[in-house]
Amino acid sequence: MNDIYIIGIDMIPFRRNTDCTVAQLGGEAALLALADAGLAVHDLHALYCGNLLQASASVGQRVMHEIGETGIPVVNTANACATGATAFREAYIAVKSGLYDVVLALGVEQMGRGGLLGGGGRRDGFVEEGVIGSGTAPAMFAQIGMEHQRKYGTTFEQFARVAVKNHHHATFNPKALIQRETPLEEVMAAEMISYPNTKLMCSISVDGAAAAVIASEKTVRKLGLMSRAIRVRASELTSNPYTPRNDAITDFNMVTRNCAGRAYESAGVGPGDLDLVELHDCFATAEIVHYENLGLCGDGEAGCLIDSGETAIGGRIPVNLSGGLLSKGHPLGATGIANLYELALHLRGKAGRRQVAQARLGLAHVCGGGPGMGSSCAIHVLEKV
Amino acid sequence: MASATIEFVAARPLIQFDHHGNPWLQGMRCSNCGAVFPGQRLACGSCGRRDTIAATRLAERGKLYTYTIVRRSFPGVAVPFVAAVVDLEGGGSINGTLLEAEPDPAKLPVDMPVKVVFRDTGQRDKEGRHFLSHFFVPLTEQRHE
Repeated sequence: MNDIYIIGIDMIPFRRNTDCTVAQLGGEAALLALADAGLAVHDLHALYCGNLLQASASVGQRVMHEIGETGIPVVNTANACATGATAFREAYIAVKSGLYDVVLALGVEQMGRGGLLGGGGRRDGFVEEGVIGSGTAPAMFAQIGMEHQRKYGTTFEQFARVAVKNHHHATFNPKALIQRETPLEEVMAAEMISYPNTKLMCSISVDGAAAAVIASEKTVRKLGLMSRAIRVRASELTSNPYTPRNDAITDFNMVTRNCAGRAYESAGVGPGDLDLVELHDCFATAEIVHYENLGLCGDGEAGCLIDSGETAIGGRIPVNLSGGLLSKGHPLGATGIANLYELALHLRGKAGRRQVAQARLGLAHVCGGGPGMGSSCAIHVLEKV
Repeated sequence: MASATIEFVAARPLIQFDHHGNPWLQGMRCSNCGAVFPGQRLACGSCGRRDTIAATRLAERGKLYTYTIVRRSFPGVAVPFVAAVVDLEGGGSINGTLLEAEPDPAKLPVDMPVKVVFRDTGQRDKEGRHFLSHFFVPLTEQRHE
């Protein structure tokens, strides 16, 4: 009788270079999620707002300014690419603790122009980029892919197949930014950004927001919302453990493995029980390494897994049916809740042409960080009631 | 490396200068768990002990662990370049730019031996000092620097 549920969830379609404010974007998603639950802003006991790039700018309070200043506690979170999922998890913990009955978790980001990320200026004026390797996100995740290649012989073509698959999935998602097939030849011939990731193997910088209303079991029953509720079976968060190379290359592998182990344990399920997965495909190379990190296949088998089609729509374990970050776009703070929205669509049987038949269990994973900044990983397991 | 006319400043804290002005790479070694890592920390990143870590000089030879060939970077940054991760002999891994190697995956074998070199980056601080950085270059049998 102490389970926690999502009773309303939605996202705005991600867009490039919006001319509205971050508060308006967040407010839009908040109102959509409230409407999905049939609730109003006065029903909320707290707001957990994830935003990375304006972490010092009280984004949660500004969202409340847009949707109703009820004076509830507002907690603003920033945690690399796990920012939105961290907001969701803090909201989950607050309800689980019994402190609040109904809270809103929101993720919102306005990315601006230019998409390489990283490489912030130094106070002494020294420009590290190109002199001390690269601090761009594409380079960082390319190195992760090349590490997989040296261990297991994974090929450029196998990495490229991830983009072919996810863009194919996006043709079934009206909310994806890019809804276009990209054949293998096109992906491989696209502009090389950072070998082996071409432009079509990089996620897109967009503005976006997604929100979820979270409630206690008692409240869900009182409101009569159990028929559309989704149970949170696991909510886990990790930071990077010590690895001998972590001053030279940010760890995204151990941080995910540790998080996945905890998530499977607390949910009491294994990777074989999952009906679908939304994982952090910020770059095509990332999806490959995370197949193994999440236990969807054995170590060294990720290249074969993408080749087999088992992670594509209709396959044994479909991954990133939404089109993933490669097609939807990746508004950092919003991503962690947007992938929960994709799971919720399937668990409710509302995913349209990409629906996984009889979907019962889904896993959502986000993982990010940066050179010299360590990493964060959040994993949620959601279950159809 | 140092001369009477050029004053250098380290581009990264792990680059230290000896009393002759010669650069070296500083790391820490933990006598409790054996961890070796570049730079300085308050406690061992691996075991958390504070009393068992001490500064150490990192090796200037190592092997190419992973890399990428960067073809698009920030405006004004010359491309392509090889952004490399190198495991140093005796422990410690550092990232940096690999010079004097073709930016071609076929020419960058796994565990390629490299050496660390220190060079003027061409960038200067407000006092006009030259930023000195470490770089990697392929280590070949013929090369005796």
